[in-house]
Amino acid sequence: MEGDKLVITLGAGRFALDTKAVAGIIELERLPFLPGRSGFVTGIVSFRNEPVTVIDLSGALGDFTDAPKTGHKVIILSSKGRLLGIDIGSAQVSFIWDEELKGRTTDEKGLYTSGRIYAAEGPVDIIDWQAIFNETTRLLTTEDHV
Amino acid sequence: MDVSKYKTLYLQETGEHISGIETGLLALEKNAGDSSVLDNLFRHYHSIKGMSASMGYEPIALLSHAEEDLLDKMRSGKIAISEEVTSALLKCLDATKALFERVKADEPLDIDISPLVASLKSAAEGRPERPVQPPTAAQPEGEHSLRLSSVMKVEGRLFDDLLATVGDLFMTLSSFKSLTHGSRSVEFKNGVHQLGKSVNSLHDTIIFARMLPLEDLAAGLPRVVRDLAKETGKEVALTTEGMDISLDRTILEGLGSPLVHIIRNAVDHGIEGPDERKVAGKPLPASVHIRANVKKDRVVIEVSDDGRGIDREKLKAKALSKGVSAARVESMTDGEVLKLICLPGLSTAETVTSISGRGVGMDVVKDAVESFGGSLEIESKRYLGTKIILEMPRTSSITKALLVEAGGEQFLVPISRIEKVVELDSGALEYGFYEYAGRDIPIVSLAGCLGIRQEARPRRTLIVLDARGTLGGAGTKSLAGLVVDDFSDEIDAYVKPLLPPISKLRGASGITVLGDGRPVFLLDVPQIISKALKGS
Repeated sequence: MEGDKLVITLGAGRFALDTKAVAGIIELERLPFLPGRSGFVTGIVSFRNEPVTVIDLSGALGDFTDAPKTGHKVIILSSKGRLLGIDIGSAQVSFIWDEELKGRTTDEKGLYTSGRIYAAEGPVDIIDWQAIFNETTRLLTTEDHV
Repeated sequence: MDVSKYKTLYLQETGEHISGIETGLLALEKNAGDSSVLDNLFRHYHSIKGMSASMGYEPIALLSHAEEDLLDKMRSGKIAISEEVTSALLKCLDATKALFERVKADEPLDIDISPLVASLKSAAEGRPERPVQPPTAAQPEGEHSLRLSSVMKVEGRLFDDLLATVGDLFMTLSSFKSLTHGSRSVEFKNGVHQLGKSVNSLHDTIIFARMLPLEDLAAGLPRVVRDLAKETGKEVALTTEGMDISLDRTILEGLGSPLVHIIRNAVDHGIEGPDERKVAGKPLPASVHIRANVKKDRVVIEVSDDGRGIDREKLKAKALSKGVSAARVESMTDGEVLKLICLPGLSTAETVTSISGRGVGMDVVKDAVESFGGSLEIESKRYLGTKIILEMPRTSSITKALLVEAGGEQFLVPISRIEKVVELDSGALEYGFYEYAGRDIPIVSLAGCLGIRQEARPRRTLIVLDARGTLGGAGTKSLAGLVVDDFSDEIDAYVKPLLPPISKLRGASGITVLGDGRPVFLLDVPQIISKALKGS
């Protein structure tokens, strides 16, 4: 729960990611094709010559109310050899610094969230991107190869 | 036996032993009572003797043998360790070094070592040492010279890192090549061309350094077969063919466990006991044969046995019990039924032995082979035997591939699979077949297979592919056509393995990043064709 957070404002609410996991943000007009994409998995990009699977954050959080995306702002997350791109469309990002978190976090969990920050502007759910990564792996795993 | 291919290894190891002897003899002069130094010296001489005898370097073997005898007497305390003895050994070492240099230079080993051997023998018999003048050719030239071995011992990981760096260079080169299209600077274009030549040359050198013969892997197999045969009470002879074919060390390393597992299955399940074979009129010992041959840039390794073959009915029953639907099992081709043994947890072995039969194995073998971009096929004739065919790339990472386009997306098709590329009117591709080499081959649309929307266009490209492994007839060429919108360049793609979360994607066997930053998948041709034909 500690550490600076990058906050994403979506139609469904505000969500936070640990800045330690953020390797970069790239913007694209169109996401390259990923064979077998399904559910909230939407495409693949390259980041520093490494392929990164991209998921649609709104879709992962069950919010399909957003208008069709005109562009793709992809936050690249990296930790222990795992890479995942989180497409936030044209959503705005801001920050909550570590010192602002004191006494404001709880461990209220959701399907893909691991805690909540009660910030002055309202609650912010902390994204459990490792859980999203695992679900992405499951969605992209084909049936038996026979 | 042709031992010349082992010469590099001989030179490397003998050079190390000679250094060890020199250090040991000097240490012995300082501390004659150190038994560990004596033990080490004995091992060095013994190793040189054995290797030199195997390689046919008789004088070195003879000299080492006499030195080893002397050391043995010193170890057992039968003769005292004296400065005279160590001096004699150092003189002999000079002779060994001189002979070693001649081996290195491919010169005849015509140094007369008999006086040295005689002096060592008399010393070993405890007779007073006669000072011996070493042969002229064996005397150090003037001042002692310090030389380094021309062979370097480096960790294999270093080559992995080098290859990864070259892969990055390929991607950077690809970016520069893209930039040259929009540049008018001749100097820039020349520079990129020169860079390309250097990167290719560096890549070739690293690939060459990483290649090892299959023999290195196969050398341990006779012992595996012998132990398995003893354990199961069977008589099995292993024969090999084509083991001089070289593969990238990573791929060779990756083949180790699959090969052992396949052989273990063959001996434990495939091959019958001696009594059963006698009744069936089959020869003893039973045969396990490994045959390798090169097919374009790939190697095909066949492991065949003359055992009882795979019982398809038992396999089907087992699959049903594991939850595979009856309709699915009934609709399977013979090749698909045989591939059921690659389903996790499926083994037809009636008993679980310490060797196999737990149903853990062939799925792991298949996964291991596919993780290197290889494929596995099975042929089996009831009561006659089974053949497992592994087709692997010979080198990792850089793959020659054709860039194709379907529905606005780009993909790579491995050149090794392509038989022909032809542009046709779209109308000619509507029937699902194309006449090629006197017969109709099935054709499938890449966009259709991958669920990509495609716009109508008057002409499309048909790529005739060798889709071996998908249409039955394992091991033989099996042609199919893949329809794409267009094709562009043939490129040297630095193909990375698919890592989670895309490690189990269907239809792709790797991924590369083009110069403009686009990630592009290398198509898994057998999987795509197989899926499309099953669906149609």
